[in-house]
Amino acid sequence: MTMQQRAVWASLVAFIAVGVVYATVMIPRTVGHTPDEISWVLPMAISMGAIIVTIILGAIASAIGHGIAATYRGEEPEFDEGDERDRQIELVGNAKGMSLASFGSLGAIILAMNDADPFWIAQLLFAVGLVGGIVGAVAKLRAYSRGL
Amino acid sequence: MGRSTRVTNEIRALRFRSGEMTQAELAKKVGVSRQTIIAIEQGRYSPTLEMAFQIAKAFDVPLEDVFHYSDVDTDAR
Repeated sequence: MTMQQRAVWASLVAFIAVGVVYATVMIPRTVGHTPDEISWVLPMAISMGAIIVTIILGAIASAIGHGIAATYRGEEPEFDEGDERDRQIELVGNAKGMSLASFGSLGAIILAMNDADPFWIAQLLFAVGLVGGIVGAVAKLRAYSRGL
Repeated sequence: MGRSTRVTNEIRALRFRSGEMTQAELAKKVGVSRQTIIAIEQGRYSPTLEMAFQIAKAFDVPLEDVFHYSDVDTDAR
């Protein structure tokens, strides 16, 4: 597994974990309340920060784990910088994630046109960002294991 | 089973003919990761033309001795 592939795994775990925690926190808050009564800005800001931190820490932890495991097996750890294949997989995965996110942006525009509360626009954009990240990461991991 | 390309190759045979060169050694010569060499060997990745030439150069053979293009879709076999 290359460093890039480990970073993709870290991003997939980060998107899923943060998405689950955010939904667990926010769904009970929305029940029986109007959007202007719901406190959502801080949880969303924390979630976005948590995604970034989890991806960075996950990539570092997986690299350390790989180094320890390789040393234990008597092999030389591989800390490559990525090559053409990694870059092609990155592009393909990002394109799939972004195409999904663009539909979410269209949905946000439609909500804004209909004077929807900022709460719903933000939730939609955050949700498609998470789903787009997951779809992109899965597409990359699939390309790593099955080929481009 | 993964998606195969129509490009087949003789990298595995050439490695063994070249003093049992390891995938890691070939990867170092070509300047790619060992995983990329594995993916090419298994037909899961078609290298760029430049990378293909670098692989041929690593074995000191012409490009056509390393790579072949099959008219038959390998997935259909």
